[in-house]
This record gives sequence, structure tokens and C-alpha cells, in this order.
Amino acid sequence: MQNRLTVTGEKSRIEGEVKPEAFHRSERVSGKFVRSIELPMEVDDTAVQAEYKNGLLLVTLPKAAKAKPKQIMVNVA
Amino acid sequence: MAEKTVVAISLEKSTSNREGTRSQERYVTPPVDIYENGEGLVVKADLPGVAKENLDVRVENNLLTIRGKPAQVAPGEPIYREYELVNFFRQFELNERVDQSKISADLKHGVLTLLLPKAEEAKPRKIDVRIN
Repeated sequence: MQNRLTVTGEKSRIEGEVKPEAFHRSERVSGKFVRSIELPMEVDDTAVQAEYKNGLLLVTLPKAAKAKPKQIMVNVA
Repeated sequence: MAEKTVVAISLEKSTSNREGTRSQERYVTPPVDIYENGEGLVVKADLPGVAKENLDVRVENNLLTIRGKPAQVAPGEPIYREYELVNFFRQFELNERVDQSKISADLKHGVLTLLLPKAEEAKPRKIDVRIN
């Protein structure tokens, strides 16, 4: 069973045309990106939430029911 | 290379190596792009996680300082960590070609855009020549 989260996007550099010779400094990365992460447990893919705020992506993936720890009752005879 | 009439922001004071006694005083230097257009200089800095209320941009004694504090957003136990939310800090030295009173700042999606207009005298002026 695959549990993989993939994020793709594009980071745009500058709005409008800027000629290369107009740059004094160029340190920021830009362009398309993709990241694929294998998750360490099964998740409930119907309940995944993603929030993008201030340039940070926060993805919340609830554990699948069977992946949650279950307490096992011990019968003492 | 095209002629640059506003030169630089001769950068910079790199004080990002200093350490405080508390871990909150660790800083990271945000990457910037600096380019020039007809109006002056544009500085773009990546400050992911920083909201407007936690951003401090000031100019004092020809020193432009950018300080940002990302909101802590890591509930739960870390399983894998590649990226840590640390404060951002960067300083630039401005020269007299920048009109410091007209510097403007915009923050969107964690990207800070600063506009540093050229001082009027630094703008190229066409001088009309009268021939008698």
C-alpha cells in the first residue's frame, strides 16, 4: 500500500521582465519544483488538509484508523 | 554589462554569525535578489513563515535592517526534520543615492519586496542644450 505525498509548484522569480544585467545580486531560487515523500504510516486520504500561509505549506494527514495505537485489554484468568 | 546608475547597496554587514545566549537569538540570512530599474533598486527577500506583524524593516544611519520571525507551526513530535523555523536577519549599507524617506515594503506569501527609490539627484537627467 502506497503512502506517498507529492507536492509540486512553481516559484516565480520576478513579476515582469528584468534583464540579467540589471541584477546586482541573485541568490533566490526560482522555477518549478516537486517533492515526493513516503509517509511512515498509513493515512486517511479523505481527511487530508493543506494550508498555505506566508509562503509556508502545512499539510495535515490524519492517521488511518488501523494505524492508530489500540489498547488491548488483557484478560487475567 | 549595462551601466548601473544607482550603485549599490554596498553590502553588507554580515552579523548573522553572532549567537545569543538563548536559542531564539539564532538567525539565518535570507537569500535576496537585488536588481535595478528606472526608479531605483528592488530588493526581494525570501522570509517563509513570516507574517507582517513579525516583520521589522528599518533604516537607521544608512543601515537597512530586515528582521523576521516566523510563526511557530510544528505541533507534535518531529519524525523527520530538514527545515527549521529560525529568525531571519540581514543588513545592508545604503549609500546617498537612495532616497531613504521613500523606501516602501510589501510582504506577500513570505516574500518581502523593498523598493528603494533613487534620490532625485541620482536620476539621470537629460540636459537641454540651447544653441545660440
